[in-house]
Amino acid sequence: MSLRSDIHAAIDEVAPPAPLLARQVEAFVLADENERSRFSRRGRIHWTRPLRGAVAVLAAVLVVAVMAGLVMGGRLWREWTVAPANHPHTIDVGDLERLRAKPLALSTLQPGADCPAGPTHAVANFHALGLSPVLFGDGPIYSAGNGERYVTQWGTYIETDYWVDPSFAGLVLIRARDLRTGQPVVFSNSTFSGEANVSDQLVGNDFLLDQTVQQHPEFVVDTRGLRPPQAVAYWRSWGTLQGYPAGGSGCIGFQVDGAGFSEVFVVSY
Amino acid sequence: MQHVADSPLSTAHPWSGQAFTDLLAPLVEPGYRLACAMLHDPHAAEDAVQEASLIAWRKVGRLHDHSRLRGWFLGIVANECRNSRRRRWVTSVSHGLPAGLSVVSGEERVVRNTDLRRALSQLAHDDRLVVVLYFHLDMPLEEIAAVVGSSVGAARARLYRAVNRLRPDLAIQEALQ
Repeated sequence: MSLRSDIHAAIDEVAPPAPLLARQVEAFVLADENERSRFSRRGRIHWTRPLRGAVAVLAAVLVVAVMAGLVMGGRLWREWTVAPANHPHTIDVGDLERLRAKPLALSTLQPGADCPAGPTHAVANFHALGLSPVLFGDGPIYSAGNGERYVTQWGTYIETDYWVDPSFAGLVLIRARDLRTGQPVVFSNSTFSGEANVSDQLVGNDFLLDQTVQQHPEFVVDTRGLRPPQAVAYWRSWGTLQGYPAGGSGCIGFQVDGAGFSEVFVVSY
Repeated sequence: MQHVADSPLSTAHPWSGQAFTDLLAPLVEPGYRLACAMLHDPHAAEDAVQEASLIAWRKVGRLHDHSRLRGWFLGIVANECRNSRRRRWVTSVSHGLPAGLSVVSGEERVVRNTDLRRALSQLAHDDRLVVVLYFHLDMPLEEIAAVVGSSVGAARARLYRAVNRLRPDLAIQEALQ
């Protein structure tokens, strides 16, 4: 027998026909969120933190070293006129530099300390506002915190939604760190996160689900340039793919700076 | 820790649900076969395909080239399989084939299949993925490269390396037949 037929035979033994699966999938996809739970055999585990070995830690250190070199050698941002879909405004470089000058208040945790996840807010009328039921942050920028998880050899990516309190409009800078390792979190402007330009600073590239993911050390957005929400009452929002390298702890601190505010929240992935 | 539901906004895209599921229907079976081959557990495989379908539904509006739907969807299934294995490892629950499975049947075929599944399960995720896509789903290397997220050359090299681990005694061209 050939290797091909051997593999077919070996796998066929553990792959019984599933003639109803296509119907199951259709019903699952078309169901609403509440109905969907009865389809799942198991709850989705979003918050697990896998153990990682010494090899992964070493790889992460190398990645950080490369990222640091790229950041230091990064080009200057003179003028940034970006995709009209999400950024019809030209980013004011002076305003951005003022936000960048704000010191990071993301302290490294003591060994053995619990990840101080939060603050969070439960939103009673989240459907009416187009929000998630629980939000991270004190505002005016809020994050869903969690979302779809993707893993590559580089590390772990989380696709997360952010919302803007209607009382705020202006430039926003988001930076994040792993609170145990101090490693910076990267943000992506792949098609996962819409068409926004994330930042002029680029620290690396990765490949995820047939798409190139550009890794930026910060996320910059002028909320005045966000697409109008789908419903009048909804808050403006955007999606971001954010990632931390293999070997990270998953205890991630986020600092969001804008004119007149600075907020910090922590998410444990 | 709170479980945060996905935003209602994230589900919004120009596709109707029925149109999407009609498009996805012929990909469910290859997705299931891929998941079975990756997980060796039909129940976990069904879950992986189900979850992957929902992710695909939420993301399909962002897939610009719909002719690449198969590779794109199988990539999501593979990613769900990887996540599934990680979850199972973390929670110490094993639905798959135990590493030290003792086969009591005397049939040579059963023993050989068991050994081969064990060897497959010991390959790295991406190595196992290219082997399964090539030998079990009979996909061309160009499409495999798209699923794995690498160049065709890198996918070929990964396939050769994996085959060499599975069948070190076989010449590569003979093994690839």
